[in-house]
Amino acid sequence: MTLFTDKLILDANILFSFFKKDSVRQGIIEELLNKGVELISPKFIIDELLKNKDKIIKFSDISSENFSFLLSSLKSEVILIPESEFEDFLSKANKLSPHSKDNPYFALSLSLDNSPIWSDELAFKNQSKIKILSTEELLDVFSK
Amino acid sequence: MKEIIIKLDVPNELEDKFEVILEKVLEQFTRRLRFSLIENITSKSKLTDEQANKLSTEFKENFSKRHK
Repeated sequence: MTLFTDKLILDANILFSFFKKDSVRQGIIEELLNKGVELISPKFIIDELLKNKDKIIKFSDISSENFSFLLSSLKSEVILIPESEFEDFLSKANKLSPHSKDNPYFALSLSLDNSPIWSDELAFKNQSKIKILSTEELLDVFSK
Repeated sequence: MKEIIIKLDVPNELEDKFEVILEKVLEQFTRRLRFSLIENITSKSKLTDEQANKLSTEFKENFSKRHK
């Protein structure tokens, strides 16, 4: 498999690699950025991360200062798209996504010419319009 | 404070391209530093896959609720 995209949408779960022990996903993120791939996510995730700051700090047992550093790193490396830029695609996305909660990711993809999504949720692959790349598949790209 | 000076003889014919190359190298260098720090911090993180999955599901459902 070759890397065929210049834009990749990151599922919420992938973004959590910025807050947990996950050197594999962190390595892939760095590699993709160095290759010039734009990593994209809906902006509401940042608002949610901020709203849940105390919970994340408690679960991860990291300091508030380190949380701020991780969050600012995420904001520096990932392009965050406001809802207004993909809301027109939400109803179309509803026909593709496995659950309504995943609509923003499919809508974002549709708004960016069907850009692929990086997700490890198997149900995302139950459609053929948008390419879904798992961590394993991306790892495969870089190991060749 | 320690000062590090890097000296490099750039061939005349590459002078025009040097700035572009330097910019790219510095961008990747800064990113390497950033990710080394991220790895260092998160190596001690106790956030589990299960907790991360639960939180990301919650985040998505919150967005979903706002759009019903």
